[in-house]
Amino acid sequence: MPLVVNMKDAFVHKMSLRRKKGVFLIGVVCSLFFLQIHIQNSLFRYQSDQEESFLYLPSGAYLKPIALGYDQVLADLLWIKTVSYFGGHYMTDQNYPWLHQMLNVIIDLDPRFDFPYYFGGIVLSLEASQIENANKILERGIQAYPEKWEYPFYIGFNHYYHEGNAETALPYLERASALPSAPDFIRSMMGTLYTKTKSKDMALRFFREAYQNTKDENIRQKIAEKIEALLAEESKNAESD
Amino acid sequence: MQRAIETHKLGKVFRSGFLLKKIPALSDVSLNVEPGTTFGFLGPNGAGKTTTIKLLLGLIRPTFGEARIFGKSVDEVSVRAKIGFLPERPYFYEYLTGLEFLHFCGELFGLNQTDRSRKIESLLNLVHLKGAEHTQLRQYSKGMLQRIGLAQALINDPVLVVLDEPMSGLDPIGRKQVRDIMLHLKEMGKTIFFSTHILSDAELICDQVAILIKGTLKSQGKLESLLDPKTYSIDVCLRGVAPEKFQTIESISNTVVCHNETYTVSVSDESCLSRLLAWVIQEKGQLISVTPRKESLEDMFLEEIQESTR
Amino acid sequence: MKAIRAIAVNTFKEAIRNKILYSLIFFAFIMMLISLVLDQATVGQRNKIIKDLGLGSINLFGIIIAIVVGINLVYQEIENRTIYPLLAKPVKRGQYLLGKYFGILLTLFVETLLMSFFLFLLVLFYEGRIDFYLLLSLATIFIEIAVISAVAIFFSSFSTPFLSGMFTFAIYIIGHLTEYLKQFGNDSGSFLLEKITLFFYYVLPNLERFNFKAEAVYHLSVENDKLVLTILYGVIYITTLMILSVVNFERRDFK
Repeated sequence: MPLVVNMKDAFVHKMSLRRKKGVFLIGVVCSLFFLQIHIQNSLFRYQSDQEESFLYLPSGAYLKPIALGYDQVLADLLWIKTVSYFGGHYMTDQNYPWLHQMLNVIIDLDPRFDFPYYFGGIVLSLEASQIENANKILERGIQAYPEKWEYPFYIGFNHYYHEGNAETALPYLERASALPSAPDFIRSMMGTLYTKTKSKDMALRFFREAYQNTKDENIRQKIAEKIEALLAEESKNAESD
Repeated sequence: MQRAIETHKLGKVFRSGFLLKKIPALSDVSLNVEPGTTFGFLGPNGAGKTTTIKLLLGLIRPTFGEARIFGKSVDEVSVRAKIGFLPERPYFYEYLTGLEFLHFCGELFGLNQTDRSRKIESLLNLVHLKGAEHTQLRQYSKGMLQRIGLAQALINDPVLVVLDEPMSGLDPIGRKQVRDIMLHLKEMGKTIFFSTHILSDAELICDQVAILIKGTLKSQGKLESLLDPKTYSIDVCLRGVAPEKFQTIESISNTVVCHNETYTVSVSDESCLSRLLAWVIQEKGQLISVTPRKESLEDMFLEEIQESTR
Repeated sequence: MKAIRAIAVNTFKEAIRNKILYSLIFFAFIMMLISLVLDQATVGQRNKIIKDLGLGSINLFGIIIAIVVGINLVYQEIENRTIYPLLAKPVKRGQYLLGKYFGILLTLFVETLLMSFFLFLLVLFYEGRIDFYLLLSLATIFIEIAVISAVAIFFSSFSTPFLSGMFTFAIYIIGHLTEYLKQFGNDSGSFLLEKITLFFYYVLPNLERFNFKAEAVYHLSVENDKLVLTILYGVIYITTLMILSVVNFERRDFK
């Protein structure tokens, strides 16, 4: 059966040829892959000396119709992009020139997405020191969620804490405390602010009202102490006059 | 001399579905096709004929065994330069015209423009498609597609022509046209390997046949040697004898069929025949024909299938 | 080489006669409509927006055609059995696949060229001059399209059109986010997550690299080295994909 032997030889030969070809191909693919990694890394260097392509971020008003009903998804993707943008700059230059614009686009696309409001209100003011931008975003938050006490409270907080302006802060705090879900500490904070603005009449009136409305015994106690201190101060002032 | 086709214990197991279930399609097929023969590859649908042909052309890889064409492994691309192939129920690029398609095929063989034009001209005449070459292939009829398929298979002047079911799905005229082309190729001395499940086609043109049933080769050889040379029976056609007279020949034959006052009587051997003929003369009957019935491919085919299902 | 060219030309012819280029009319229509609507909008911004949307639509149309044609090309030939007589001829499977790929590239190139021509006309009409900066973005858009068609061919070398389409589309989306993926891994603080994201960062195509739209529209300067590296990146990525596709394709049985 010479034919069979011949075929077997050919078969073995073919196998070894195939294997050689396979090894060669794996080699080629691997070297191409490493070359590709190298190029990617070189290209990465070009990126850092250039501003991110958010230059290109269109306003949400344009984006929304193009999103074809995927506006929430688009907002989510942008949100992921925003968080990583924040993370990236937090680790490096702590400079966030595009943050507020990105947040605004997200809000345009998906106004019921509440986290960007908190994020913008706190991070933009505390971390990026863009008080005005932070307050604008919070104002939009109030529009979208008028029942949430946090947004007016943060605006008030930003006015007082960052700008030291209790006069502009008070109306927002009042608005926040008037909401049913507002916690009691806002009232005491407002009392402090009224005291600071020297309109003691207002402060007293406010504390008395607060005293009546508050049910928590501890806080009532604290408010009572404030009222007494105010009254004491008033009588002292009257004496010195 | 190198054999045109030679397979050694060729086998194929397909893996299919998510779990890669094993489906055996072909096992232990050892074929030998000598150059210059017209080889019929017979078998019922689903026997594995197309699988074998695809293995021969390197379209699928064998699980076991090996196939060679003119002594070379079918994995070698160069070997295909000598082959012309017509697939089963061919379907070509719809939007090409017949002429463009043939030129494209010629280019794949590396033929230059002038050679192609010359070859295509003669092929169009051979397959009777002159005049239809500027029509897009999607407007071709089934028979025309089959014939343009034959033309593309012949563009490289192949030594071996492999045709998969060349006559299936065609009307009688289409079948005759294809058969005539095949006979023409045979005259030209080409080796033809074709599969079919239509036995009369094979009987008319084959020198050699192989029968494939359920993925295994049942028999292979010269058509005459595969068929039993012994006569099965002899049919005698006659008329002019009164029906009641047939009772007297019960001892000679018990199969009498009457149709339009013509009687066909089957007898089993020559001695019965002479007795029957004497009886016809005696009864003053009119003899129409005497036909000996030999085993046909059809009978053999059925026998093989019955055996394998038993 | 001759066989590759023949197959490429044939693929191109088939695609053209399949009326793929009719999508151009759609593109032109959308662009005309948008520019007409924008005519009512603010002056000055209009030119920018036409360029933005023009580049964006060329990109999107190119990608969609690349995916749709890419995933169906090989599969249809197997389904329709048009591939059998081809591969029964002295044509290597690698040659066949390369021919098909170049055929799609040729189709997409013509399509991109015609769309670009239309965009240039529109810009010329509104701005009064031809903005050659756009060529930069158009060239890199074409590289991205070429990468995506290679991805489509790669998937279709072993998968069904539906799955290939899904995979290719997913790669297209993720390919634009790999930078963030890597950043995310870095920030996560988890060693494993960092390595996994880094792996995907290098394995998946970084398609943001081919995005020069801002540079083109705002006429920002681009270093030559960066451009060369970007092109090289695309070419190497495509080469790797095509080698893998051919390997897959050669092992394949055509049932």
